[in-house]
Amino acid sequence: MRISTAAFHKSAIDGVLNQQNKLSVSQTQLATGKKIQTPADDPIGAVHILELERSLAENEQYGRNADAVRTRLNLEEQSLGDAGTLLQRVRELALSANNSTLDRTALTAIASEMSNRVQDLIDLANRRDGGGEYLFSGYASTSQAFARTGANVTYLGDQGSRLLQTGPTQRVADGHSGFEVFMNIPQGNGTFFTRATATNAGTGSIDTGSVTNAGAWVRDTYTITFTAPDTYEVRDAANNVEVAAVAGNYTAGTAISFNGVQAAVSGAPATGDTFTLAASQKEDIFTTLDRLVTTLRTGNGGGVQGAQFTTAMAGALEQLDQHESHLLNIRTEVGARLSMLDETEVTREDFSVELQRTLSEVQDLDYAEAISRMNRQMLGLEAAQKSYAQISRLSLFDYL
Amino acid sequence: MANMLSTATSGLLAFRRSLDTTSHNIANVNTDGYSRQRVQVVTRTPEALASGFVGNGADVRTVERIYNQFVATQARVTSSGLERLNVFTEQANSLNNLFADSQSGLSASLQKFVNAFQDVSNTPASIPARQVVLSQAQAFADRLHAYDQRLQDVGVELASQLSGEAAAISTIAGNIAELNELIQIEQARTGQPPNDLMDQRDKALDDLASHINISVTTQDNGSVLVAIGSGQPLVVGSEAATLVAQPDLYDISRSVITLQNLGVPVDITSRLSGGSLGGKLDFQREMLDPARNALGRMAVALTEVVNQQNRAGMDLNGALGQDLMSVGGVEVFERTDNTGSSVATVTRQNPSVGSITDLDYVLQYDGAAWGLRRADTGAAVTMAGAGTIASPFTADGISIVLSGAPAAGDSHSIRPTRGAVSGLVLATQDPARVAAAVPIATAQGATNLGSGRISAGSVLNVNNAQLLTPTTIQFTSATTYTINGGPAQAYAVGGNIDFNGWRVQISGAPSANDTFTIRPNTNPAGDNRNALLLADSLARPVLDGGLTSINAATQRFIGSIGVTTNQLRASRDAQEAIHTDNIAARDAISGVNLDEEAANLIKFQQAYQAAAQVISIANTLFDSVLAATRR
Repeated sequence: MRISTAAFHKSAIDGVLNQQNKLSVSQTQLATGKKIQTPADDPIGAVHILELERSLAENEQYGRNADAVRTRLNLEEQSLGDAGTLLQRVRELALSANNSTLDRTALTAIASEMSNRVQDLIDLANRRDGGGEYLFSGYASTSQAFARTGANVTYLGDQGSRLLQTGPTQRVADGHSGFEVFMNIPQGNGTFFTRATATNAGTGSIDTGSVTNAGAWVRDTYTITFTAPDTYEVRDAANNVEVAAVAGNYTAGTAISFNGVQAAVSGAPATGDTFTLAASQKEDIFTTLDRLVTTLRTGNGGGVQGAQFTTAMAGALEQLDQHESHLLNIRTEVGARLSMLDETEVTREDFSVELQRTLSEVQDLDYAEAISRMNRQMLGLEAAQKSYAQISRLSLFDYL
Repeated sequence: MANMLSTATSGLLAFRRSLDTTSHNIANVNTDGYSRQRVQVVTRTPEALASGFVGNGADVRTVERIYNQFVATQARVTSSGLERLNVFTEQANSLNNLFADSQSGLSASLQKFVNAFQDVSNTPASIPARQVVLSQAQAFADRLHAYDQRLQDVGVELASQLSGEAAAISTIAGNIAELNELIQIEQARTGQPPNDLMDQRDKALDDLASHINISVTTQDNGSVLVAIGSGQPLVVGSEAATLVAQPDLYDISRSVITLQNLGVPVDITSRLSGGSLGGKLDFQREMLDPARNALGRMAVALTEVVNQQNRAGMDLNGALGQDLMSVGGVEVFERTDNTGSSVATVTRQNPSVGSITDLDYVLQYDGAAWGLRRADTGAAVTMAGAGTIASPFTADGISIVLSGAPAAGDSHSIRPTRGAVSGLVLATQDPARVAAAVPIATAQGATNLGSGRISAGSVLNVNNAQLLTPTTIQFTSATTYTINGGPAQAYAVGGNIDFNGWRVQISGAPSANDTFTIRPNTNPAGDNRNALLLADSLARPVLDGGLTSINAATQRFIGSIGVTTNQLRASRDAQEAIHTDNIAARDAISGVNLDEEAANLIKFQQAYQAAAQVISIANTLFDSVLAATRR
């Protein structure tokens, strides 16, 4: 084929330019260390990179969320631990007070320490996190959780508890509301509780009783009435007789059983004295402690009043047990959440490493390949330039 | 002797002509569009003698150019295709580079926005965390604005280039017409082909083909007929039409290409293809406009999703959430030559996110009814409704209300998402307005005896007027409950209880007389429920009828620009290879080779010298005869 002179020059220059272009692509890749400079270089890879980077950012956010949950749960755990220690101390105080040898002054001293403890507990329940939010206020985290209004301590927060996203489908609560922790605790043994009527004239006291057959229990408020010092009857709230009065059926310290529960009255009740055995409702820790302080302040005067003291102390100690185990349950729950967070953190980090690895595979340059490619291209360019310079020098006109 | 002398002279003249032509070839070795020329030498009519025919020497019949019409046309056609791809690829590359950075790109910006909502869900009471949501929303909007502005700038630049293209085409067409006339005259005058003029005309045709696809027909009188588009004549003999860029009849900020011949200018934009003008039109139609629409669609989707979820929540001040962002409306253009007085008011449906497209539409009245069709393909789009305020036309996420009296042929151009990004702004600068909380809070009664628990509750319909009315669910037995003392309902463990626009679930075993309350969330500072939903909503597939998430749409958009650019680069390279081959084929025939010309120089020089020698010998012979007769 004929080659026109202009076409020869053009194609030679085109070849050189083409080589330079390829070389420039390799050079840019080497300079940035990335295979893909723009989406057009590898559209599928480019979109893959976007998705991987998004996943990484998302995963990182889950990590931040988990850290936030962990911080708050640690704070809560700390507070619950402190509350447990506090209740332990209260329990010790109550046990030492539940001793007939103590005089009124000693009891008052115990009462005042205990009342300080109540204040401590209120402070503890009003703890805040690093961001100034109350730990136990539920959603109403900027308002104080507990305050004393009149004789009672009231809960001012709500029952919400915040969930945080710690994984694509995992949400973990970052705390418990004060309602759940301090307020919503079953009374007595969880089924029923016992009380002695304040106007009782005898020295009879009632223990906290126990459940013998949960299936036979019927929720109600039952009244044990002594129709004579040695005779009692049990009636329910509707005045139906549960245990009929049989003369002499009372023996001090022997359990009175009905409907699958039992409680023992001891001492010498007077005719007309009554004791109640009522289905559990809910009681908050503060109420229990306040009542205990009042009991201690009233003192153990022996006799009729001593019987009231014994009944009240027995009830209070049982209720303290109930509170302690409740707090322990919540602590266990917090612990379970924390360990779950630790587990997901491991998975999350593995996933993150995997994402990084894939990302690097997709976008990072294989330097060895790129450098050898560049060397080849440089060789090509040099060959194109040299051959052009040599060949273009040949002309028939030189021989004319 | 005289015969010999005249024969030698004829050779001398012919070789002289050949040498002239060779030197002309050498002089034009680098002239674009030049075809090498060759002198066609023929023998003269011989003299018939009794002893036979005696040659009378040589004559120059013509100077011909070495040119193959078919091969040249091939090169011209591929140059149209190559120039289109060059321009298209160049523009696509600039778009591709615009969206190249993954770190600061749309996808990363969107994820930062989602993360900002997650951070608010971590610390809903924190003003700085809420501020970050607004900042990230602003950053995303800024990014969209920057892209949209760049695309708009490209569009404006393109519009000015269109008029430049039209002018260039008109000028070349004028040249061709002039050359047509000259060639016709010269050919008639001399009966010989005016090679250099024809080369010039072919060069002009090549130039024209690099601007636009043309079809060329050579006529008997030597002139060419040039047509563009779907056969619209551009040059006929010595007459050339002009191309003019004129304002679009819908949107005067855009240009259309009109052909001005004798009658009224005709809009031939949609019929043009190939060349740099075709490349620019194709880029505008296939990449630029869709890219702006796609960005607009993202802005619409984001705004709608965020606003909808924010409205379902409660802000830090305890007020129901409001819009966080606002977005530009639907662009409607009335055709300037509409004769009726119809006015189309177009809005997006609420919500439109599931059905809105990134297409443009044309709404046209045929004298009896309005019809909607896609602007790109012209395919009809079915509309529901009657076009009135009470019952607007609805289709593809838009809602159209018409007023005024239409005349047949009236039409309106509708672009549902094109202008959305320009209008994308934050609707509030107050971080407290991020509705991180849910408007309702639930509680179980403090004296409840059963183990029933109530869920935190969610909002189904924020527009329910009774949403914030305190409500009590009271169990009348372990298996039945009443709402606000209403009729008894059967209790299903964990079942949905929907009332007053909210939904809660109660699980466990409630006892008779247990109560659960639903009340306004009066102190929502620590509530993050709606912040979680906000973060979720941005990841949810909402577009395309609930198939595509905003993030997926973003990635798809960037992917599609990459794919298009990539394909264009490949097609451009392929087309370039074909074109190079065609040019090589053309040059192989018509191009000047200096070595060949050098050889020709020697050949013709030697022949010339030989012819001169003949004259000298004839002279010697003549002298010999003279000397013989002198005696």
